[in-house]
Amino acid sequence: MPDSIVSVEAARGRVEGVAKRQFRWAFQPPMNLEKLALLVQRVSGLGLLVYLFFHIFVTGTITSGPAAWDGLMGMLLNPLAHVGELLVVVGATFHGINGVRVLLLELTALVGHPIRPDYPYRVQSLGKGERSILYTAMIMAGLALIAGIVILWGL
Amino acid sequence: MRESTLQLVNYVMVLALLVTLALHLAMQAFLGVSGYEGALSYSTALARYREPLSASLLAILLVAATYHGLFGLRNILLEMRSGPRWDRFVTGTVLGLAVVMLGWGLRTIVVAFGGA
Amino acid sequence: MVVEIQEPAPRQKVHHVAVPRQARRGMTVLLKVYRHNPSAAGDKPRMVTYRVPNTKGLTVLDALLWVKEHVDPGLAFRYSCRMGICGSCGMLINGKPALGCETQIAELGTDVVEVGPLTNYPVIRDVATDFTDFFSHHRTVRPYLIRQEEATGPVRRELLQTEEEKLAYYQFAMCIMCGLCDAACPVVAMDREYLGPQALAQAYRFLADSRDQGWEERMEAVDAPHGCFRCELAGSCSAVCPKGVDPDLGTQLLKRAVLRGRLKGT
Repeated sequence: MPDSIVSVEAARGRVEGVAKRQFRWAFQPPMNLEKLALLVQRVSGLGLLVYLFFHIFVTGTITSGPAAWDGLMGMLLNPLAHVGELLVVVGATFHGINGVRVLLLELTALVGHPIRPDYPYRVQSLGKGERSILYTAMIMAGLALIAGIVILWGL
Repeated sequence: MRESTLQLVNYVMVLALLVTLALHLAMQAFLGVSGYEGALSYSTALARYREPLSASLLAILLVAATYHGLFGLRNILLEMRSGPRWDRFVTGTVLGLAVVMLGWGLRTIVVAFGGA
Repeated sequence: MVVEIQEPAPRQKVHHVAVPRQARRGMTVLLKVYRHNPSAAGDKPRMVTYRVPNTKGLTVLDALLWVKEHVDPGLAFRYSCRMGICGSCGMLINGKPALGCETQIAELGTDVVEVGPLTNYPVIRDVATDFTDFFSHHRTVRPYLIRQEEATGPVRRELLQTEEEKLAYYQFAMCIMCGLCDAACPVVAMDREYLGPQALAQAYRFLADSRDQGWEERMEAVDAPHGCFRCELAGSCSAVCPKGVDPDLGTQLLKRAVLRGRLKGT
């Protein structure tokens, strides 16, 4: 029946690319909180690694005497660096507490135990316990943000 | 090295990291005498390397953070492509970064502790 | 010999799910389907919207079959049992991996129902996807009972199992291999070689089975750079599983079993 076809629109085909594959899944359903937490965990982890790399070299100046150290500190004590440090602290807080959630789910009974699957199915691994740890991670990251602003900008 | 061995070491490093990083951030931000700005002065910073306890803390923090960070990077990179050449490239890169980061960091701690 | 029949475990309290009261049912529904034939030269991916007559209890699969019968016989999709047990009709419904036969259009609550091929699988045509990698990952974990016949002798009669021993793996044996979990998993999206939640849950299903003696063989597959330790607990697999298998739980239990075995020195 020709009038059964309402419209035909061009669609995006299956676009494959290493870069897009890294985060496209975060914007596709199911949008459960744990999946989004994984994206933040990865991004914060990579950011912290990059920070660590430079931090090792910056703090290495301690062996070059007070003049070199003070010179470097003078360069680094600016608002942009403060924003960077704030991101590091917030990122580390979320990454750490969410990491504790992952650790507990992987190693303890928090993840649940095998049960007889009767309808409607109770998904134990997405339970109240681990959700509350995830919310704690988000709240603590927020508190770290506030504490960081207070400390770094001396409010 | 079996994957489970790498994973077990990672768990140990993660636990060490949680403790030492929390202490490190606390020491820098508010446990010190003169607060955050004071903690960055040359003398205060050097004092951290001179005391055996805090120097050991920094050393453990360095090893734990480097292992955990590079283990994560290795996993992310391994997911991107497949094949033995890519696996060798990733292992080489990660080990190279480990040598650089651990090498320079430990050098700093040892030299500063000994008396710069 | 008398076999004692044990009472099954007490049923879980059933939580009654609130179903939205069906609004006044319209005469037709709009079904927007992804159409693409990669093997036909010049064929471009497109979304075609069909107007399908609405009947009581219309499922997405029913709607697709109506289109195939009355509008375009070239519409390609998989289906078989139409009652949620064969696992053939996995597809993206309004962006989320689901079984076409078990999804009631009235419950979706949207004006247009979008149907597409499952993510993370190559598209053969329209909504039908290529499950070759999926099945090969499953085969890699040796999804069958392995007995060490040299050590324990050949199996001459039934291998008995208590109710507790059965419950240790029963949940994971409910898998219908529909592939929704692999479609939802972010690690499968990023890593082509990752075994995937389905294969890992099945690896645990056999590891936890008291009749199985294949620990060594399965360890090779699972304790590997693209094995169970690449799972990062996104939980999407369990969020979409239509049979309550909870592959997320299976994979974490598998990790624990592997680590325990490693510490014991096996």
